[in-house]
Amino acid sequence: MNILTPKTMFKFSKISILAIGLSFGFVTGLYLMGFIFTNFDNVQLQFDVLGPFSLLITIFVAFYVTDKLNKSNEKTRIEKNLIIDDLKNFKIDLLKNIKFLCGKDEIKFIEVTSRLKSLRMRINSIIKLINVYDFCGDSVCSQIDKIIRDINDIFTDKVGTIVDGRITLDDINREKINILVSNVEIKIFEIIVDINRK
Amino acid sequence: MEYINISVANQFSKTPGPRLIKEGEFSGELFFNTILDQAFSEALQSGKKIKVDLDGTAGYGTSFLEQTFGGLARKYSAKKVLELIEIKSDEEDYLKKDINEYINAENDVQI
Repeated sequence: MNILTPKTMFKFSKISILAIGLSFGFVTGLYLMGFIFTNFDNVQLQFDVLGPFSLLITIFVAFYVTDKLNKSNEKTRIEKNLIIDDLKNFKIDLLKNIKFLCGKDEIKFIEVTSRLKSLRMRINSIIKLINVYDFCGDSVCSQIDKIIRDINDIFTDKVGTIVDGRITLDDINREKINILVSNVEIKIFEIIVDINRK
Repeated sequence: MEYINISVANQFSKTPGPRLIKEGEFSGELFFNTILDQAFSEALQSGKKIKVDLDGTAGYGTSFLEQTFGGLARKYSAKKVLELIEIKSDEEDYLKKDINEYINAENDVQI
């Protein structure tokens, strides 16, 4: 299946710019060289010395613009890819941890807080990097942090049954947590799209 | 300004627990009753401020923090708490924002 990744899209745009540049150059060249189409049977040819130069300049400009676009687009590509990888890994770890915590009938309080501390610290580090490079609006990023806090809130304060430092999760709260995790996944997707568009 | 320094990890527990004493060990209620409330009374009398260091623990439940700092605002008013309490959290700097919310929830005072 042919998928348009950012890399292939860029290649495509590069070829397009080159093709448009060459076409423009060709038409301009024809015009400057004095091809005047009076009708299909009668074509007058006038030679213009500047014509070939114009064509060369057009081709040069086409290559120059393409090269500049390429460089500016790729300037932060390494950083973008690293942050996107971090976000993807964070998503995997979040799902793994929540699956573990929700899969138990009874969980130690400390197990929940330590796992969630680690996850929240990690997403906040990623958010800081995203903000440093201005890859994405702050509101989407801070929403993820808020959701992780809401998950902590459900585990540690909303379940209703914490006895002897052990949390018993009921199905309603388990479902609420799963919905919040889905929201995190959506936000991560939005951030990755934003980063690639920058 | 002089400070009364409190470190949760060193003076209370490296594994802070749930909201209430009846829910388990090292609860927010216990921390409030045994450490924070006394320190706050002392700060009020002496004119000192309190610096609470949250680093070095395994992690906090939102219930622990709400019970502790929201509880303080319920007892002494959000305005007073915001004046006298300073939070230190290098590991989780976002906790300062969370705690401000818990304090301000008791009153519409903004920092």
